Amino acid sequence: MMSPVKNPGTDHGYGQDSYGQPYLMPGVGTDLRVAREQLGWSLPAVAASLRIRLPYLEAIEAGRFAELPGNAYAVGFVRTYAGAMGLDADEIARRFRAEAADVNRKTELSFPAPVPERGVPAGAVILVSVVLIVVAYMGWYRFSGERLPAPELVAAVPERLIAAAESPPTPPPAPAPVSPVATMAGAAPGPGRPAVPVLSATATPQPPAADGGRIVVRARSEAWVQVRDPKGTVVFNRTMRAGETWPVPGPVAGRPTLLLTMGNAGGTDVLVDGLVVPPLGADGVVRRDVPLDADLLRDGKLAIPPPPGAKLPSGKQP
Amino acid sequence: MFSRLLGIMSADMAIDLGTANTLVYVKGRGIVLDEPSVVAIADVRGKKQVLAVGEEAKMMLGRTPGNISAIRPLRDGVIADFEVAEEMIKHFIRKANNRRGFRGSPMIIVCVPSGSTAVERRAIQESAESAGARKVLLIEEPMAAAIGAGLPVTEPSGSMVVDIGGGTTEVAVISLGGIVYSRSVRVGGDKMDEAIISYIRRNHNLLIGESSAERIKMDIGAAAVGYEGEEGPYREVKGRDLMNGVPREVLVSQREIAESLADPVTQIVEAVKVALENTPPELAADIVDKGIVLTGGGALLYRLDQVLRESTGLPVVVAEDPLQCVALGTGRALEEMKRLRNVLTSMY
Repeated sequence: MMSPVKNPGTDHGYGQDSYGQPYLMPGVGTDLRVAREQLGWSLPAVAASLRIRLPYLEAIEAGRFAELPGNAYAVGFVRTYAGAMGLDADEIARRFRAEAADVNRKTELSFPAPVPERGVPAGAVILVSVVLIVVAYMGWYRFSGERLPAPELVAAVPERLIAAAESPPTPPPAPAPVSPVATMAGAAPGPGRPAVPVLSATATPQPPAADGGRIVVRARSEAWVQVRDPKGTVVFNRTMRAGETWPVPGPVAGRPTLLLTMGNAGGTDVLVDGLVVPPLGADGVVRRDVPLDADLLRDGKLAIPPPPGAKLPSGKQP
Repeated sequence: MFSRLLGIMSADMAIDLGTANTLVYVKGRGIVLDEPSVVAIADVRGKKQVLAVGEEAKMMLGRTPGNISAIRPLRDGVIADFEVAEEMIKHFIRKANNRRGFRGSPMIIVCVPSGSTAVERRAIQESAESAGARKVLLIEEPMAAAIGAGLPVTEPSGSMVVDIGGGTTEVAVISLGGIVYSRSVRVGGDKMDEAIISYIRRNHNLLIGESSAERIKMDIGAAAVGYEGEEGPYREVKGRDLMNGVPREVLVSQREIAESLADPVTQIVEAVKVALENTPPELAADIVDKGIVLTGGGALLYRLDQVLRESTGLPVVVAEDPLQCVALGTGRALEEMKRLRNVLTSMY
């Protein structure tokens, strides 16, 4: 758009100009001054007539375009001045634009943006917190991983070995020192597990009681089992796979009897002292809140026959 | 999400919906359409049909038989005939978009007079929406004019812009990207034409049409004469003689036209003076320094800048391309939407 021709004579001062010399391409300012002087006007008179401030007119004549206010005003002033001097305003304005191309660019419009209220941008906050969470998790994983299994393996194995040496068929004590959940987490449905209660059923019944609970819950088929205390605190809650066992923690002084809820009463065996108690319900029947009292269970007081009509405190759902 | 998808396939536009002319600026292409805001409607067996829009319709203005009416849907800068305006916008959008076969619905920025009421703005927004826009944003006309004239509107320095359009004259003082004071008077090119018509009727007993009056105004119209007693150039004007009813031609001089335009010009000068009175002193100081910028078709009225200069004592300059300033400014708001979103509003 702008003419690429850069006029070498743009920067004419007042004195360095001689009228007789024809310029190759005189500056706009010079042209305007020549026209003004030919008309016999003085610069202050033009300023008073056009109401353009004298310093601006001087800047235009001297080619000091940087002193003019914004682009639009500068072009307007030149155009008005040229028009008043009887010159072709459009032509002068075009040449002025070409000469002042490097001074006057398209007006930049940038709104004063409100200062952001937070010092740290949201993205950085999120990034930092994600990094922190990852670091914290890694730290926790490493430390808890070292603390928990390692000492236990070292401490528990000899004990178990001793116990095994004394009476080989007593696997239930193994999980006793560990919390039930931890045991279950580690209890893969290996081939050895289902055999455990059978073994214990034929063997001495007492040792488990000494270690903890006398009761063991064993799933015959896949069944949901929940154990909680009467206050509602859930002790154990999961779907057990066929053959999986869970030793009920032994009675502790001050703690009431735990309550057992089974999603499939027929598919869940309860063993007391290693012996399977009479069935607590038929296949697919839901039994709720069966008190895990070893004596009651062993005597079959809580068992119900497959047809309905039980006289149990706990309700039975079809 | 879907609307964004449509946006990719459509060319967003900025529309200067003016009383006299409508300009359409298409993003990335500049001003693609500049036509008079006139629609010719034909009554075909009781059903209204658009016959012509724009230049073609303007030729019909005042020359229509009974079943055709040439309508200017905008009066005083706002929509006077909602349905016709909608048809016109629809037509212009279609025309501006003619390059591609499939069109999505564009986002449109339309400018509104600063003095328009909420109802008038809503009417403009709704007609643009029902003409097929996906989203319509509004920009105040003086702000668009100032941006289009290249004024440093976002700087902490006052700029005064006077946009003399077909229907309204907007005077505004702008600083920091906002309008500090604005005043809109319903005087513009149309009022000047009317003044010429009534002057010639009064002094020459000749009734002339709006188009003839407009042509005279563009040709020899002036806000003042050069010196006392100067007649200036003459033009012949044709119309119907009111005395005996036959067509006739008379010669009018520039002095006569300047005399007839004295009333609307005075109103514009008064509006500028009132705006100056209401300008905060710091901004007034900036305006003394830099002056007033005239935009809009009215700025082309000969010696209007001189009249304003004499009556206000301030430097008055006419913007380059005064007819396109508003469209260019609206278009710039469209191109630099992220940066200039502060000046855009919506009625919803």
